[in-house]
Amino acid sequence: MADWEHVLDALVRERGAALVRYAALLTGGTAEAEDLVQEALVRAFSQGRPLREAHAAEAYVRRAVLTVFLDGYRRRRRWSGVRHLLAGAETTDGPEDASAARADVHAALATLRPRLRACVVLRYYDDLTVPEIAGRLGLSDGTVKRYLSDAIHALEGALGPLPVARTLDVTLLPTGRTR
Amino acid sequence: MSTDLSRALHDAVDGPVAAGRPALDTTGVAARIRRRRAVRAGVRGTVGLGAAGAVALGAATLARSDAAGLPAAVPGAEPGACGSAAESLGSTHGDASIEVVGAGVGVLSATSWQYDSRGPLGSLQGRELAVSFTTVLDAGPGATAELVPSLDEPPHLAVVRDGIVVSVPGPARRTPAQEAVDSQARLDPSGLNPGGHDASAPRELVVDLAACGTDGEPLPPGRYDVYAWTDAASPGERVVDGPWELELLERASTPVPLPAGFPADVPLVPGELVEAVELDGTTASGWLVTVGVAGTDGRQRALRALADAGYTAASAELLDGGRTPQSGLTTLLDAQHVVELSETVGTRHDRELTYRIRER
Repeated sequence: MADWEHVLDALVRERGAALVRYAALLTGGTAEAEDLVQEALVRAFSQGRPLREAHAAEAYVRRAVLTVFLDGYRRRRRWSGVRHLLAGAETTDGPEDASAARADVHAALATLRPRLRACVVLRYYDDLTVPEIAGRLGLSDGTVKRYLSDAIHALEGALGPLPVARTLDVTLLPTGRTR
Repeated sequence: MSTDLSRALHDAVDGPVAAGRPALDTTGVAARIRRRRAVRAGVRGTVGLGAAGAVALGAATLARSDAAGLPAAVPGAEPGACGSAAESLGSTHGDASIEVVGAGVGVLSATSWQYDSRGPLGSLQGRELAVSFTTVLDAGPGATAELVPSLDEPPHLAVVRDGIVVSVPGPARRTPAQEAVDSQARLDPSGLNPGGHDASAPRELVVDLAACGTDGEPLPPGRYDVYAWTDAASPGERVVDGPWELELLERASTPVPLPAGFPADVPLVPGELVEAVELDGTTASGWLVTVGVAGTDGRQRALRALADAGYTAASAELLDGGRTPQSGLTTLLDAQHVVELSETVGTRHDRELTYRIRER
């Protein structure tokens, strides 16, 4: 077995589920997420780059997941098909519940346009800065700020206040909408 | 209640895995990776062998090798131009995308033509790439609008290897199959296409795959990525999409051994002769010949050979929006013969082409 195959095996065994769930933040569905991760694995491991250990490979595959996601019209069309699953603007009071929060976040993310969703995932999961997101997506800093502002505005409609999200390391641009 | 978005996302990705969830199957993934790596290694090996040969054979061969080689990166090259980095094309700003579908890669079922707009564009022996384009705009929640780019302004293409643009195909022209479809549409007596073409149907176009920096030298065998972009769908904003995989095969040149009496003015695509039957005139006369070929562009190459020999389109089936299905039948003729060409997915070959030949 070649070195890359050992790394692939270890990566999928240890972090395969997490990669699929990362992809599901973008796609909104597990089946599409598995397709996305498989394609990302093929791209990442076919390039001949020395992916010698699983941790480094995971970061590279996550980047490939994002690239494949943004490339994919067919998947984009599927997202359009699940937008009716919008959880709505109502929020429920009660104790913090992690699993409920996850479900809500998935449903809320599914309502966002693909690029907004990508910005949210890069900012709040990958912890990238605005300039880093801009570089990753080929956008200007200002566009990323606008996308994040619009995304947070939309997510708050479904999830309620997002206090941490409002403390961005950027100055959010007004969207002209009132809440 | 308020939600910590960062925590919720990390929980969603890194939280406990639900029991019973099957692990990601990597068997097929590993096979695809092995194949890609083998192709890349093969290409590198071929280049290395060519370089060694050039040293042995002298300066003239070296110059030929340089001319046939692929270009290196050109710092500062315009995005999409020869030698530019694929990354410089950027990505689409907005919710527009381009569908590019390779001719001959779809699957024709009893009722429809199925294809994957993200799937590979095909494996080609020839160095003509036949594709159809559709520009897709996100028209709001749950809706998309599909536009067919003008034949006069189709999307631009860039062929990329190792992240560098190595071919900028163009200009685009209609494929022989598309010319046949259009010919039939103009002559359609049913009135179903009163204006001639169905403007909403994607059209099949063909471009030459010549290497950058050469005098039209065809691209060498190997695996490439293809990107498409257009400025037309969204004024002021470039729409970029891709990549699509494209595999270029070694070009077969062995002519098909033909039986005695076969009409010499009917060029057959190089490949393996599967069957050649001279019809005895009981129910029909002429020839029925089947040739097996490697790659997905057998039909395109067969039609090109006939067109180059002077055959013109007589009619063609117009199926599924004008795209050419694999089993589509195209009829061409010259002064002496009528040739009906059809294609199927072969059992021993990638494609099998059947020629039905009769005298006019």
